[in-house]
Amino acid sequence: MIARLIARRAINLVITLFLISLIVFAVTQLLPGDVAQMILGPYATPDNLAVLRTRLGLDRPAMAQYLEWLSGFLVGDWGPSFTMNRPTRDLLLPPLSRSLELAGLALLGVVVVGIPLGILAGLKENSVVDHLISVVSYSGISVPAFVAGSLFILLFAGLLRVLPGSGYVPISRGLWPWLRHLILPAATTMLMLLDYVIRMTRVGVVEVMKSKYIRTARLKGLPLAYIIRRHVLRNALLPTVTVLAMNMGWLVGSMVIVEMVFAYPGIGRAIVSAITTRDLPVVQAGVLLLALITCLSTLAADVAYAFLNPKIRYT
Amino acid sequence: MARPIRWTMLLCVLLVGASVAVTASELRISTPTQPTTLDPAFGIGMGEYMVNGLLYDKLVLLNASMELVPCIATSWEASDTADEWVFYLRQGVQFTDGSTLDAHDVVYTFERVLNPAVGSPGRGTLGPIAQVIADDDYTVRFVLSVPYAEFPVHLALRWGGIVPAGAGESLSHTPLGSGPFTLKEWIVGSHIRVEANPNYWDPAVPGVNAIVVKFLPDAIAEIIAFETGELDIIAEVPGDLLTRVRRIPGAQIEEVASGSWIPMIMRTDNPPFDDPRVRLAVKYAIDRQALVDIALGGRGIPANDHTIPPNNPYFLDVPVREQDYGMARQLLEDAGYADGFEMELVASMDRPTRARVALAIQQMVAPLGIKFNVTTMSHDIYIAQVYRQGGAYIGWWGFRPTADGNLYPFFTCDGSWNEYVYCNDELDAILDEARGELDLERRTALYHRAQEILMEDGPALIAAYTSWIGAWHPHVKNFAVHPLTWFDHLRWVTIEN
Repeated sequence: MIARLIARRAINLVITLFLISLIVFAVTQLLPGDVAQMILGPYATPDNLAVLRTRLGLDRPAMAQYLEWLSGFLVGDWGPSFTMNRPTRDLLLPPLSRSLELAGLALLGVVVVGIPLGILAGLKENSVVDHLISVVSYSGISVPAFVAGSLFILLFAGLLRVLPGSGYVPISRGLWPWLRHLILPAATTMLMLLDYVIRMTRVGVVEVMKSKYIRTARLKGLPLAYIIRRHVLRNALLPTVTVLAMNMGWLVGSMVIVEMVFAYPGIGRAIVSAITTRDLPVVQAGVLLLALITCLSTLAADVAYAFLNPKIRYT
Repeated sequence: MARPIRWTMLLCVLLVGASVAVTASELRISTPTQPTTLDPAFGIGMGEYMVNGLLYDKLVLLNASMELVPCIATSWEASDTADEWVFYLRQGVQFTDGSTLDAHDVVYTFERVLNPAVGSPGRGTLGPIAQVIADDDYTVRFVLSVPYAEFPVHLALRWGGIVPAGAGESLSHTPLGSGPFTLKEWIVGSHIRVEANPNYWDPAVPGVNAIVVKFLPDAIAEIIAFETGELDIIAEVPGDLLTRVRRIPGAQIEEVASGSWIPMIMRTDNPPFDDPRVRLAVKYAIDRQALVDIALGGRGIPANDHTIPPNNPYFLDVPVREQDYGMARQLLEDAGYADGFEMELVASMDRPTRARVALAIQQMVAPLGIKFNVTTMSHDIYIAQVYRQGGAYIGWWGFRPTADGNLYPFFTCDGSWNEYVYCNDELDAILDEARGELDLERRTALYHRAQEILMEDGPALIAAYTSWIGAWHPHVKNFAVHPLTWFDHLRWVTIEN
């Protein structure tokens, strides 16, 4: 069953990616501005420009450029960057891994903070606590990331001076320096997901608590903590877990604002900076990479859902 | 019992001492544009300038007081006719891979930049070099195509960073120089970290153990990082954020007349600016002090439509042109534009100041019936579609260290940066003559005449020179704002606890 599901989804995924690759390539062809002029700047002479255009292959037909790019992408050869004098891979994979660090930490925060709050709100349905959690988390998601990020910077970096407001330090220079730089951007990212997760968990808990098997368990005289751990969570968290898995892909792509606000060298910032400098290979490969991650995490979420919940089987 | 405790205490003291020593001599500075390459033959942004100034040595350096100081060259001399220059090199200098730097590396460096096949943007900027010859291992001779009195200054330009003979494209990401620092960490989009070169020829240099160059394109983020102590120096404080920086306790702020000029290009091969009277009318319409106050927030000095600022020895000291609508109207009428005209005036958005200058000009010429429709656009589109093509647009040029460099490429008929398509035979003859004139007084007289021509006939409305504002914390010593926005002098900066 699951094998068939994966096979079908994989075929869809290939088609989706192919279409995205076409769109990405077409859009980058339509971008105004001349790459060679961007690279050489106002100092360029016409003969310098011509030499560079030939070297970059910009003087060939678009179709030939596309086919060569796509076949290269498939075998992992993403070509050299136009502006940074190094392979496109080196400009995308390290930022991707840094974005994953940030997204991972944010997700961890969401799980650690969001799920307990959701359970609490669900258990105390319609109480003051429930409403309070609801209002606060809803405010959190209503504030755009660039506002929340800037407020965090002003408060924690500007006023209290406890955390750095920008930059990145690799983990090789120490766990704490690395983590310090991640806390504020991760907290900002967390806000984007927290309300979602709290609500999913709350609804799940409320539903499960009303079910007959919970009533049975309570009538048996089992302690509440045991019931929650054993029965409520297992059933209530199913949708939450799959939503989280699905959001991983979305998150990596939508952290660009957080990365800009905190000067965090992730993949979103890498793609934006490549767009402004007309570094087409980086833009094309970067967008396709994000699409791939989104598709894969959606696939993973589907599979996980089918796997975890015996009631649901895709046919 | 006592012994282990004592040892532990000693260890603690050592550890604390060591960590203090390490952190105390790390300097953090920012740049809005990150380097794309660390090959000194390439790169046009501030980021490359900053980092390459740390990784590479040049024959000579130009310090923040605009004085030439020896670096790899210990001394130099010109032939009587100033068309041959000999530089004597320092011995015992090593590249960071351990190989020795000698005259052959210097010859290779300059031949590489000058080679059209290499495509260096610095090719047209190093002066009229015809040939570079290694007379022996430590003597280099530059043969010039024309006599040129100011030649050594050009060797301090960013493209003069000396690389080992044979070095090529790999320099862009694995730099190899003989400079006071070596590259330790380069995280694209975040920062570059360089650490002191232990084998540097001058034991007093560098003044700090490490420099972190952070890439902060957002000015607000930059100011906050400075405020919170995450940055020691802000290289460029935008004028509109100056009041905020002033409020930071202890912040040292310096404003230097940079000599960067903001021209309105009036392209001379099409109407209406093909008529010099129309150009002059526009120049008469401008209240220059008001433009400095409005568009530059008061941080600049009024200019007289030429490119030699008051801090330059060749500056022609005459009063700045007064706004005179009567004269302007008369000129327009004579040229057949009594009712004015309408055209597009483009300002790139790379700096907000460009649009402000455009709007100030728009308002000042409006009473003459001249209607400029101000259009703003992103810088890349501007470069591709307007720069060197548009009829009227706002430019931005950094000051070059020599009078010739500020005039010759821009205003001679075949000048490499003549975006005006301007051609004036008298000016060409004067600039050619000034290049080879060794007598300072006569050369000054020639440059004065050139400025007069540009004021009356020239194709650029240059209403102001900008100021350059830098800020640093008081623990940073020996730093000064470099009028050319160069950063070679970071090697002498120290940090005091």
